[in-house]
Amino acid sequence: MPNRVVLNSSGLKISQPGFNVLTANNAQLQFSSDWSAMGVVQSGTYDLTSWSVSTSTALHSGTIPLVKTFSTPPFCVFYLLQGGYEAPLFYGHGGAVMVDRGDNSNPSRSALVIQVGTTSISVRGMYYKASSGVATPFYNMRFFVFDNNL
Amino acid sequence: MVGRVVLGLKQGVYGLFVSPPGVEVTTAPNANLLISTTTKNLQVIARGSFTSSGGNANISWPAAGFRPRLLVSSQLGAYFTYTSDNSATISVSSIMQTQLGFVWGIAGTTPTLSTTIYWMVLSSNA
Repeated sequence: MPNRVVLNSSGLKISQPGFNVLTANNAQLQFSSDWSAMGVVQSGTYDLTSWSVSTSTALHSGTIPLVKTFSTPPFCVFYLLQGGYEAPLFYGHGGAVMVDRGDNSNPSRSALVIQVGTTSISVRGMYYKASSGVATPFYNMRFFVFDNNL
Repeated sequence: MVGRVVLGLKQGVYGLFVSPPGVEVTTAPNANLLISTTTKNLQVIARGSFTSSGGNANISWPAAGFRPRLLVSSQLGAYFTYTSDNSATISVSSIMQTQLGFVWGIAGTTPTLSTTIYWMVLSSNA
């Protein structure tokens, strides 16, 4: 049975099953203290329910406070929640999602912009409707904020 | 007080196991642990950022002995290609800002997307 764990002045290394930790390369390790661990530091949901509506357009602006101040914007993952399903929106430090819906009788368009800062996440949305009766876009999201020790 | 850390043998498997506060590490399911080396832990080998509104940028990171997974995050739109096991070229396009203007402009001032490109190198294979 190969050695699996080594803890010495060089740190802590744990090899994958079947590999000797004393001779394993980095690809054969389960864990190495040479690298930083990453974990979820915050999670939650955010719903775009409040809109400032004018004649044919509406705007949303909101903020998700972060549980701590980061030195650089943290890595985040966003999912769109709809009908019991979760669809990946984007990962990283925010992005823009644009949906240009429409048909020949009632064109509409909507957009969502999420930007991750060091103390909060900014959420902005808009939609346009050429006539009344167009349903408000359904933007309910689940998010995860990651932290590491680098 | 419960045991929180095992560095050694847990339920027949050698590794590192760390439980949440209040949970006995020796009996907790591995899925409930803060750290369990029964699977490869996702760790960050390196990370960085640069500013760009378009064009290519070359990045590199400390050699890990294998080609690790690179994550690139850009609000403008970016893609990358590996140039070696410890380097890559990131290509940035401002197309998202342009497209956003077409959609948002009718409602007011279009948000300005960040030109900062973030990247992370993870300990999983590419």
